[in-house]
Amino acid sequence: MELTEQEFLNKLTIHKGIIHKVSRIYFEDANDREDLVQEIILQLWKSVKSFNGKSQFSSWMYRVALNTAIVFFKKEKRKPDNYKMPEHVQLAQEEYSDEKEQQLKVFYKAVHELNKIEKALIFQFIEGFSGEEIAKNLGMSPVNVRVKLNRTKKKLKEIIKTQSHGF
Amino acid sequence: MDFDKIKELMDDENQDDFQLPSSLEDLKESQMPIAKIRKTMKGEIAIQLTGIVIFFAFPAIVKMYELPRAVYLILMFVTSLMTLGYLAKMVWFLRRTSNIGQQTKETILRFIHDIKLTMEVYKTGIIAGSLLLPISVAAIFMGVERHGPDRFSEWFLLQMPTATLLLVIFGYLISCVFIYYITVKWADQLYGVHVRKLEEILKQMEV
Repeated sequence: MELTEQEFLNKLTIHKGIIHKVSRIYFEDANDREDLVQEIILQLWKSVKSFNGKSQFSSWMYRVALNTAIVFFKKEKRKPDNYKMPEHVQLAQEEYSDEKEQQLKVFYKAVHELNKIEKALIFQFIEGFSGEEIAKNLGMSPVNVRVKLNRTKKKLKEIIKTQSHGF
Repeated sequence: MDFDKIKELMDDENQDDFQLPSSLEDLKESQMPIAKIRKTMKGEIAIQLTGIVIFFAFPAIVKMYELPRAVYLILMFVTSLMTLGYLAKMVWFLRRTSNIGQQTKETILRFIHDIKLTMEVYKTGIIAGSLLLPISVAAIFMGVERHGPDRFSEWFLLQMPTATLLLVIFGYLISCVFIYYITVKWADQLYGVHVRKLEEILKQMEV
């Protein structure tokens, strides 16, 4: 699909929630999330020509964003970074004020204990993807997805239990 | 655990402060393993091409005896061909890996396959080229006119006592092992470390 930079950015803005959620699932540290967000946008821009329009733009975004997050590795040791993100790219330092946000914080904390594939599985499950769709996106067999997803849900529950929270 | 509730919470999370860039020019360069490998390769291609030109220019700058000069140029020609061989492979790799694929496993497998293939060609090229290096170095050190009489021709025609010859062979073998070890370590530092990270993800996909 041929898109101008502005058209591409407009489409991203409509679906920016996908990028936000993927970055929240994959990294706890705000700096790492910033790096991942940038990387996802870069990869989306590079890959936009390969988007043939057969699926929805949002479905394609999910796939590229997740694939990027899976093969993206945060810096081992973060050196003092002189680079300042432009104000408009900066991510908010979340403050959890009410109960709902507290629950979400507990969930994200537990999810960060999972490995990259487990994160991808649980994220797609929460987003309502079917087992077949998850299998197709990740390149795994549907049986493998079902087995791993069940284990991941169990693992997540145990982590939350260990953290003495439940909801 | 109620996943529907979590989805609801995730969807409702305040994203007002999460702003996308107004221009793609504001983005930093890619930090993906594949991007780092591509960057390293581009640098290496430039350095090696410059190296070939410099090495070929050497006999034109420094006056050498005929035999060492001929041996040096022949070996440099062979080494350059090998180098160009793996540089071509690197260019092929750079062209194939310009963006992320659609399917996770396929993307990772393709990356690993292409990196490993390129690494093997790279190691073979470097090692084979480096095996000729001691002779080229000897040609330079012993065959330059201002270093005195042509000791290289004598050395090259094996006109030396048996003990010295054995010592030369032993020294050559030691340098071969050293070159092999350094090359393997070097390739691993530059590229292997990224391959292992990607292989770890593949393991996570297994049941």
